[in-house]
Amino acid sequence: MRLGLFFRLAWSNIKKNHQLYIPHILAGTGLTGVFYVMLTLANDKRIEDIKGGYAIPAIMAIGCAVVAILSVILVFFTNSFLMKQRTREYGMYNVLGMEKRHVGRIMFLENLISTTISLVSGVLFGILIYKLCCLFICKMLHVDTILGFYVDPGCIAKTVGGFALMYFAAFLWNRFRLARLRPVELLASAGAGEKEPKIKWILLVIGLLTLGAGYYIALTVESPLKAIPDFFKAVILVVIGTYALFLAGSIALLKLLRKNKGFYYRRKNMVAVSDLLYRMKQNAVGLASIAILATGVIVMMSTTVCLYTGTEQTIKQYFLNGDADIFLRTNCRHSEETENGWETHNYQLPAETIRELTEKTVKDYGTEVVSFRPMRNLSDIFRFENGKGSIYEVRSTFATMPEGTVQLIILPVEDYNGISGQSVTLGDGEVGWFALSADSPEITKTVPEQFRIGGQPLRIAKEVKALSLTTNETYTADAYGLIVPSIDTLDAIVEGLDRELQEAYDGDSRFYLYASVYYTYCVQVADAGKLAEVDTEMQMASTFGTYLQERVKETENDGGEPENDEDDPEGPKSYTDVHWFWESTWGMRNELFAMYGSLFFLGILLSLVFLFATALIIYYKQISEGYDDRSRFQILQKVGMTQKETKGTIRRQIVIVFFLPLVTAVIHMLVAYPVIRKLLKLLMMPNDTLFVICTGLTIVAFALIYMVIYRMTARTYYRIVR
Amino acid sequence: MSILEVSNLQKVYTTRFGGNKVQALSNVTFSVEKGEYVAIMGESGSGKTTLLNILAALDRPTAGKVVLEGRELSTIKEADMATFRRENLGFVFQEFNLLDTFSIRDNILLPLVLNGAKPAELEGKLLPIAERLGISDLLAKYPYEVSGGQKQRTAVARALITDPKLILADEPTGALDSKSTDDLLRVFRDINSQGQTILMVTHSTKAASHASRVLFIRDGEVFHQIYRGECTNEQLYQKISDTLTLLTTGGEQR
Repeated sequence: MRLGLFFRLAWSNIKKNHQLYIPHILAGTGLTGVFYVMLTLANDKRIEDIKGGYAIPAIMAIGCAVVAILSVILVFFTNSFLMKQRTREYGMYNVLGMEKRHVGRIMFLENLISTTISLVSGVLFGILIYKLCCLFICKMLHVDTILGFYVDPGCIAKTVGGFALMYFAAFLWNRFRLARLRPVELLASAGAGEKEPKIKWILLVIGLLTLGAGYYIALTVESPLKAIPDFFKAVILVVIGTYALFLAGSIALLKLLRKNKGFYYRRKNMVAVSDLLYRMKQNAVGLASIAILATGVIVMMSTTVCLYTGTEQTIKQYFLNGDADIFLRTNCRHSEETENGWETHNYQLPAETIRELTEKTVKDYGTEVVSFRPMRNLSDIFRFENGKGSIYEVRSTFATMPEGTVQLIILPVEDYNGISGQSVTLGDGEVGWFALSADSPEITKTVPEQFRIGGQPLRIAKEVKALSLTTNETYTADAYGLIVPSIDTLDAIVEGLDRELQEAYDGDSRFYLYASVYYTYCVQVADAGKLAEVDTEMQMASTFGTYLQERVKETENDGGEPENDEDDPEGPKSYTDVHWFWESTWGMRNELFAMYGSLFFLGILLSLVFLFATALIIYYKQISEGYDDRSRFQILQKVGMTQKETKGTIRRQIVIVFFLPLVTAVIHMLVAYPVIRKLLKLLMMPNDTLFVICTGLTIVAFALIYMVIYRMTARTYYRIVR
Repeated sequence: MSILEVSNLQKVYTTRFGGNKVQALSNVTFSVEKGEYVAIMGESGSGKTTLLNILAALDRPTAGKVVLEGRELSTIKEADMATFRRENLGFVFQEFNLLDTFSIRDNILLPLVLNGAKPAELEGKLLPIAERLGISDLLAKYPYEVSGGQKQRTAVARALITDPKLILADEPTGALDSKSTDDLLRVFRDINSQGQTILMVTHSTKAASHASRVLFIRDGEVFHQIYRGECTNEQLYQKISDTLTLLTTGGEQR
């Protein structure tokens, strides 16, 4: 009976305050739904099993974490806003004779109702859009598996449990605040005079320092690999800086403007400046949050769109600008223990043999080899000291590279000519070079003109036409191709380097890094599409492997000698020592689509959540300002401002406040551009133009959506003000 | 020479869906001389506020006209109205209507700035007025930091700073304690003695007893008026009080 009354009161309160509660409930619904979708995607075995779906669970798990953090922030934000707006109402109940525990009970019921609606509709929404998401993922991964309706009770339980706990925590916070308030304060809290904002000098200094440091890091990042930890450092600094500057910097600036009498005491400025001062005080946190969210959306969307749409280009570039479909590498290696410790022997099958095997394999799968070109090379990081280059061992992934380190791909001139179609000739001891990325400086900046490498004296003679080669590990910004006079020179270099490494490791060859030539062959086939169609890369590679092993066995048998033949220490000792490495355009395509497709999907989902959060913050900002502005609006008119002037000045202020986060986000993005470009390089996406286009389009799209959100919320605002 | 002439003023409010008509003012005629201090009295619902709104050009009459210094209000275009108001009228309200985002100084200066005064001229106009109203020490403070009486004096300063032809005061003492009321009325007397024309709407007998003339409004008409003549405040107070008794006990006679 009594409970029934409380329940009715709570329900009518929600209805009466629908302007506040609808966004609150919508936020709950959206966040619950998205969280459920991500959690289910992370756990759905069927998704994991689709071609290219292996990357989704891990990526969605990251998404879950982001949404969870954002949910906590947003739930507490909307909750505190609701509480602030309704304090007076609760005070009134108290004054009218309800005890605080009764008010608390109404509050609890209100929370219970809104939470239940949010969670139930959120889970339903999640279940509905889950199927849509599955379809979308299939489309993006280029698979046509269509999955049926799917509900995961475990995920529902976890989602509901987690969110319910969060809402309960929010309720406890409200209840705590209610208990501490006295009735008079409850009533008065809405009409309290607003204190003049003070400049928070310490915060201002912190803001300037952190933002400056963040920008500095972002703008001066050298190597792409260092870009990862630097990027996160910069992000944290910039986030702190943005909040601090929105809080303190805006007020300091406006106060400075107010001090300037010639500027301040003008018809257009006086009202605007002092109103903005108060607006910034109330909304700095919300605006800074919008700026951060907006930056997040722009960064996420521009990078994931760029990666996803650039996949084909990345592949093309990786495979010699489209001149190859398969990269093949074989190596037979055998390690044995001798009196001198462990020794490793490398053994290469002749190129002709590999060619035959490849042709056989490709024929088996229904097309034929068009070209088969060797690209024997040594690819490693070198450090040059006193004119001598030696292999530099990267001990830690995030280590800073010392001066003089450079990435080199060394290949013999005959292979270079074969691939590039050039006819470069090099004299004895002469080398040619080309830069692997367009923005690398002249090679002589790091490598001296006369140098020794692996004991070979060499001299930089000429720059040659660049080949489109991608290094596997992009440790340093500067990477070069180095052309040596012949394969013999290359072999001699490798031998020399190997010896140096052995010495460095005191002959324990089990553990030392051995230097070896990659006997890579670039294969182009007539119809790569056919191969991609009938086959996965794995199957073809294993067919090739079978042929290869047969052939190796034949070689052994040709010799007519048993295994461990002492006369032929170079020969392979068992099948397991045969290594082959196989890369194809279609294999890479599958892998990249799996990776970038799921990243793109995550980008879209998170961007939607971020946009939603932005809309929510703007909406609540507009409402709370609407109530304050109404009285100001009326006074200004009474004092003699025309209606047009009043409207004009208010609109101008709102537009400034509205564009501030957007402008901030764009500036952040511009500063982040060099770091992100380097990060993209790490992901083998070297196309800058595409990234610039993606970023531009994302910014425009975001600005448009933001404008729509603003328009929609502005309507509510003007309704209140009028 | 009369500064304000009001003749046959009529105002009819129509409820939103037609139907009911409410006659707020039926026939109001009076005039105010330059330098006069006129109080308008009447009960709630007598039409005081409607009259003031029309005089302030915030509302338009159904019939009749208002002429301020030879200019008829109804001939002024809507677009010029705010400027006209700003340049010719000063307002003092019961609820002060100060902007809490402005310091006292800025609240007073606002109308001047809106008029496009040069920043250099401001201080010169502000200081003497602040001095006269005894708020020179408060200029840097904010409305929430000062008392009700000080707020109202700020509002008076804001009304005076543009040298208006007429000050319109709507229940200026309504939200003040008795000491602040006395202070404010003394201020009004002061500025009036320096030649400022004041028109004040009030239902406080005490406030009205400071005026040089008191008009009584009932049911939308000017019902009676009293000139101070040679009376002291106390004598005028008595006269007003008697008239009010007559008004409420309902003598229909004039």
